[in-house]
Amino acid sequence: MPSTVQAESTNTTTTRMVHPLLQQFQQLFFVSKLVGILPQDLEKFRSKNVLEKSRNGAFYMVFTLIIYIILYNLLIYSFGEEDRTLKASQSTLTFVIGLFLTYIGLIMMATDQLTALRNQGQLGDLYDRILAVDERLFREQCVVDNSHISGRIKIMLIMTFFFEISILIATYIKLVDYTQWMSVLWVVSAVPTFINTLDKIWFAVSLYALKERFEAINTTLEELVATHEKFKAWLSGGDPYMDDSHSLDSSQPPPQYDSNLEYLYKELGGLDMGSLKGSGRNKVAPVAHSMNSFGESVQTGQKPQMNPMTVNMAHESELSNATKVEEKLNNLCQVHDEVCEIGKAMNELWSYPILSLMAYGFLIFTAQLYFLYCATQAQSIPSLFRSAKNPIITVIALSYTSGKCIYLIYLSWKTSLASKRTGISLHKCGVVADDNLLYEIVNHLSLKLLNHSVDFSACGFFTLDMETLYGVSGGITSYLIILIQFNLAAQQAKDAIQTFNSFNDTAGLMGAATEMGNESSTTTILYDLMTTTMMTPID
Amino acid sequence: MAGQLGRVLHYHLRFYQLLGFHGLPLPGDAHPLRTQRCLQIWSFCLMIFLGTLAVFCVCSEDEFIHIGDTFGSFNDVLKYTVGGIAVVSIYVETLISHRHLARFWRLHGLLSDLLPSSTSTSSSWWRELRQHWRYLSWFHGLTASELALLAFFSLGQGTIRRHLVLFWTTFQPFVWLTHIRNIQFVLHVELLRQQLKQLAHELNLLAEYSKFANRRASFEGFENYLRRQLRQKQLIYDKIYDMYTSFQAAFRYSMLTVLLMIGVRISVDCYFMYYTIYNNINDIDYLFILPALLEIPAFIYTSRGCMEMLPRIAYKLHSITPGPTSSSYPTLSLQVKQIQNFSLQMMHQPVVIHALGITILDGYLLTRLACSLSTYAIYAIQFMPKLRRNV
Repeated sequence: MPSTVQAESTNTTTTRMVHPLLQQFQQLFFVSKLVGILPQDLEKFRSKNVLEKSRNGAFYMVFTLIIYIILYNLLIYSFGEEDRTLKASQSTLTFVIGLFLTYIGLIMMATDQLTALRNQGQLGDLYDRILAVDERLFREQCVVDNSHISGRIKIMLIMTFFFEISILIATYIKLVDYTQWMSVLWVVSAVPTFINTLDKIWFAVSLYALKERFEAINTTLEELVATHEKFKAWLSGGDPYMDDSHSLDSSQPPPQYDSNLEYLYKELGGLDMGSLKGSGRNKVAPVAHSMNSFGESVQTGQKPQMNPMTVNMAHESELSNATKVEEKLNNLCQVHDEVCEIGKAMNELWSYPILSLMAYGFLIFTAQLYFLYCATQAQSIPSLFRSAKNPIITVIALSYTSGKCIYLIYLSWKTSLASKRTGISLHKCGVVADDNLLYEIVNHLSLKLLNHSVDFSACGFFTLDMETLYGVSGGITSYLIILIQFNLAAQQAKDAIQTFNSFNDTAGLMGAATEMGNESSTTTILYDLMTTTMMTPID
Repeated sequence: MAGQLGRVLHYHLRFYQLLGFHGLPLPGDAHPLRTQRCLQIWSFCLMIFLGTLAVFCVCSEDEFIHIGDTFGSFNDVLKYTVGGIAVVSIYVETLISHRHLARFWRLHGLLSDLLPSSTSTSSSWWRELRQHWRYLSWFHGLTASELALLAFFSLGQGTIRRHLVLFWTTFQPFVWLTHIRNIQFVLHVELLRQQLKQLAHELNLLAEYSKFANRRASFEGFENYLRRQLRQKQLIYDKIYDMYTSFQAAFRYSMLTVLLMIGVRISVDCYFMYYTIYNNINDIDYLFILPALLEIPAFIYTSRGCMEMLPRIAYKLHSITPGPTSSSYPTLSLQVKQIQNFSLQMMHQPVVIHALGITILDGYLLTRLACSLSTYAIYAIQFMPKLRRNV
């Protein structure tokens, strides 16, 4: 009863003490609203820090989406003219890849915007649930600090602007013909990636916030352990580090590897192997029954009785009171469950955008490297991928794309690990407290935690953990090599055709020369040369 | 660092210190803080030197890299780049994560102090050799084979071209350093395995003891005794798990880069081996690849051995037979609860050795690596005739 009263009283202060997470998202929300990533109401967000549905916002978002699509198509059209003239000189493979990947950025952006439109009601609920979790954690004396989240958002925004602007400006200055007024349209080429990154910042920061909640739960549990260890050390009158080694040292020295049963015989009263082998069964029994056979039995009986007495004298560690700590552990595990559920819901909301981002990352990474190869071989490449002509711009663009993908994967993996760490901390509590009732609670909660972990995935196609990176990097390398081989083969075929054509021309010329009766030794040599060239296999 | 290291470990750690891989003072050192600072400065200097060397070799006009075709020079540049990254990452890690490494060795000392001191008549040298024979055989076997190959190469190769001299004198240090780092991983994993093995052994004895006591001679208080023993084992397991997390934290990036370096090197050297045979070039430097082929299996074999201890421990734990249910706890006996708790703890704290989460170092990785290396070798060989025309 007193605990519920206390909870009630703290409940009133909770609302004042816990600041909503969305408070930290102010700048990000304004930018997102401006470029049309989120349809939610701006005024409500500014005044109450809540995300609420807004019809005007939705219309504005659809409007921006249509504008982007029109501008992007205009961009493709105006820059595509170069492609049409260059089509003959491009290899078919390069041309097809360029065609295939032209719209992928646009598809990614449309996925982000349409998903945000679909989720506009649920997104607000998600942050409400996080606020509820924060309040519950606060009641368990576990405060989550949100203040540095806005700093993180700022850093991410600055990095996004830096990458986008540096790629855009460098490409514009070095690789776009800026004497024509249509070249201004090149700015549109940065829109899809920019919008996508802003949307992913929402996901990344929210995920980071969840990770912090898991870590807060773990820290609370580990603090319980640390206080209890100090408390026990205080009881035994030693320094805190003594307890650690003492608890381990109190066991009898473990036996050696090769002495298989020696330990057992030692336990049974210092009998050596030979004497036991010779002895009959009835000789063993009396030894085993004696209390002296294990020297610790006297201590063993005393220890559990000692604890409750001293606990009453000095209430320092919560873990020494099993009934009291039971409630706390239960609450923490429930909060853990709730955070896991929020994580799953969040993953659900962003599943399509993440899938499209990963597909985009994989394809663009491969294509950009392939086009870089083409550019080094002085082949023409699709005009939309002109940034591949410059290795430095390519490096920046690739690190931007891969950084985005890898950071999301890394964060998901870390969050998943943090959620799994709770079980470890819980077991530490159980073992350190060494209380019968607590073991029961810990075993129960431990099973619960085992069955309820959070794993992030992209629409269920693949999990977002570091192992995915292994597969993806292997895939990129393989495809790149295959593409380059195709390109080499195509290039050789093209060379051969050109040589053949020029040979035909020469032969025609030669025929004309012969007709004119003006045969010269040089043409014969040339003819021989061409014939031998054509006859030599390409090995 | 608690506890005294054995002489074998002491000398090997000195060796790693000399190479700048172990940035911690050893237990017997007179001025630990000063030694640590000196070791860190030494690691830093080596890092700068080798990093500069890699950049110099790639950018130099001289014949450091293969001159002949673009693909060959690309391969050599790749080798230098990956080698440079690997070595720099090793030293950066030594400088940054020395706290985790110190924790690993402190826990190792703490757990080793619990082991019985040598009671047998054999000398401590012999005991240590027996304890660390796996690590010692990997270390000395691989080092000896590298040196033997070097001797064979310098004797067997007739006229050594300038490119080979330049390439091997600059590139071989990178190879050796990554190999020795790999063996350093093996040492740490092997120590972890020894602790797990010891725990499994103790649980085995406890299981036999419990069986014996239940069948023949149970006694009052046995239940409590068994429970306390189990709890101690749980605490020990927790320490071993801490040791494992410290190991993972101390060797994060370098594990990945070292594996990558060895993999890339094997793949590229396979290409050049084929190249020299295909073009009838009288070089035998491709033989240097042989010890590299054993490096990754050495690490994977050790880590697999370590990870395989876990099911053994669980099996031994569950073969402990609890005594008859006591009247005071009619539902579930105390020992059963303790065993359950331990078992659950092990499920939450699995010892899984991984390289930054990207891949788990088990037998499956070896299969995947073999597959991918052979695939890349085939790709590379396919390039060769096509590229000859571009020379």
